[in-house]
Amino acid sequence: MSENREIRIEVPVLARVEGEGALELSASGGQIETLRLRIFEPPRYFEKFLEGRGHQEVLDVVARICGICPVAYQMTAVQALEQAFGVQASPWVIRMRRLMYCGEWLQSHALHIHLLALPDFLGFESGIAMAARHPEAVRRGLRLQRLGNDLIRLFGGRSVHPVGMRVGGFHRAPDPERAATLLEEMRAALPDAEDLVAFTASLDLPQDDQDFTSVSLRHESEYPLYSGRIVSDRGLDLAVEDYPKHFQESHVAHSTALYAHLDGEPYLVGPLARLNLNHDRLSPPARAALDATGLQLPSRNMFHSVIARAVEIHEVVLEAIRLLESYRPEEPAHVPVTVGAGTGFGATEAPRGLLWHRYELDAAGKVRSAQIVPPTSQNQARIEDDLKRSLEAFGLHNDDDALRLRGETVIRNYDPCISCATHFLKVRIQRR
Amino acid sequence: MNPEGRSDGWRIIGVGSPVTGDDLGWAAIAALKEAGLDHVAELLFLDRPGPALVDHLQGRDRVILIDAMQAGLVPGSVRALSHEELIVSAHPPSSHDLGLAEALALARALDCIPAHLHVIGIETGPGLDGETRSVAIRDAVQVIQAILSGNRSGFGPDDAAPRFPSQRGR
Repeated sequence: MSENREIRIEVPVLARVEGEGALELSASGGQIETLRLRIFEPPRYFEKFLEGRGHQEVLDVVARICGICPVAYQMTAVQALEQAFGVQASPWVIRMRRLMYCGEWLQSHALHIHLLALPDFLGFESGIAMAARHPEAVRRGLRLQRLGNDLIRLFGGRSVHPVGMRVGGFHRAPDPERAATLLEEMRAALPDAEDLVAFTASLDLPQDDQDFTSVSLRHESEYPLYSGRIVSDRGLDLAVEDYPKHFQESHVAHSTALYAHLDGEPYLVGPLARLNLNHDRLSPPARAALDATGLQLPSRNMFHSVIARAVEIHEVVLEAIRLLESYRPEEPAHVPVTVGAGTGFGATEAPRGLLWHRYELDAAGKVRSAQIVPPTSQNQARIEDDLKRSLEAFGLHNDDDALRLRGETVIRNYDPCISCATHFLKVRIQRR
Repeated sequence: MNPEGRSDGWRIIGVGSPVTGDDLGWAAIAALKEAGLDHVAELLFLDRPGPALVDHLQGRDRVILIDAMQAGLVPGSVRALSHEELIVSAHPPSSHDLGLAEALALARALDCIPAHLHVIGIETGPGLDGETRSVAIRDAVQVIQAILSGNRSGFGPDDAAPRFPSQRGR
């Protein structure tokens, strides 16, 4: 099939991603001329909604940004608010936040791998179609996802928009008997998590190495979840509050979500970036399971993201077991908070990548201004860059269905959440 | 347990969220409990379970699901829905949009649809005031009581639309 033919393709909805938008691609003479990830869902204005709200309302408001990663928004906001008020959370609170965050990674990654990404690599239209042929794989995903939700529920009362967190800590400490039950369930899930690493590494993934910059948090001793400095594989090493010095958000005409660049260039956040930068911070069992796959890091192949998610599932199950084994309730489960004017910054690793918040508060603790930079916004420019390189490497001589599927697969690698960024996807390809 | 090893007692699941209007399944479960039906059936509230609904259907022979719906009916209308039709309407799931239809489609693919599955929908919407809501919950409870008692006269075969006591929304 000639790559110079004129073809126009429209796909009304891109499946297995969250949100609404479109992919527009035009090619001439076998070269891609323009490629736009067009996001047209209306802006959601959360930053403006927060203005004038009391600090007590912030965690409930930001949780509504996303039904899958509300914990990430709450964790990042609470860091920023505590910094603004000069509050130092106790070591127990920090450990418990990390434990709760393990639950969110577990449920989000398990759902993405088993129901959204695997159909691409096993040749099915959807996770539902795949379930009939690979029921055990899907059941494993459901078991892991449920366990993650149970862990969030332990602290937050419910897994969607949890309500257990507050500035200074938690409203209450989890019940030790429920924590003990969850510990046993986590131990029972460990074989599933170990198997998943080998399973994803055995998939027939496309080989498509690209040059990109990885960005993530880096902690002095832990695999980054709740805290760390902002680093890149090009030598960047920043305190959280210095993020705006190097990262810029900007509007583009074809998207209602802001784009972010690092010193003017696209960059990657998320599981593969985290693993590239922090594989030496994995716990020994997770490191051993990763080594057994033979995966060489850092990886330049975005399709390795599915393996990175599996490695991270293994890591958070191990971490949850470690933290639950030493669990003792602490009451009160929070430190006192004195409200005052100030500015605070927060950065954590959401399942989809680095999440950064900034809040300015007045003397009464009300929000004067808020800035929230979600991972999907940060990945948008990288996704466009990846699409262009991937489709050219794949070959424009392929038929439209094959090009469309490859494009969708590339996008799904990022597990984009347009709801967070603002929302996603029709595909329109024009060739002249 | 039946010969297939499935539990053959009734499990009644109210699906919903704390958002007013999406909590009708929960309100129905609360009303069933108040009516003493927790002695004859297992009553569950589930908060936006997504694919986890499959776990709650697994190994069960008799399940009733109650959820708020938006089907363009008069708010407060109560309908018995065909789970087969719901499954046909399912979309390929996204991470954030895996609703009742998608969860049932997944359950069918995993071969864990209960032999006796009833789905009761209660129409929600802006016109659902306090009185309408109370009547709707009462209607839903009566439908469920009829299912539990085996009094299916007027219901027709499984999943056919029943005649509801108040006949609203028709």
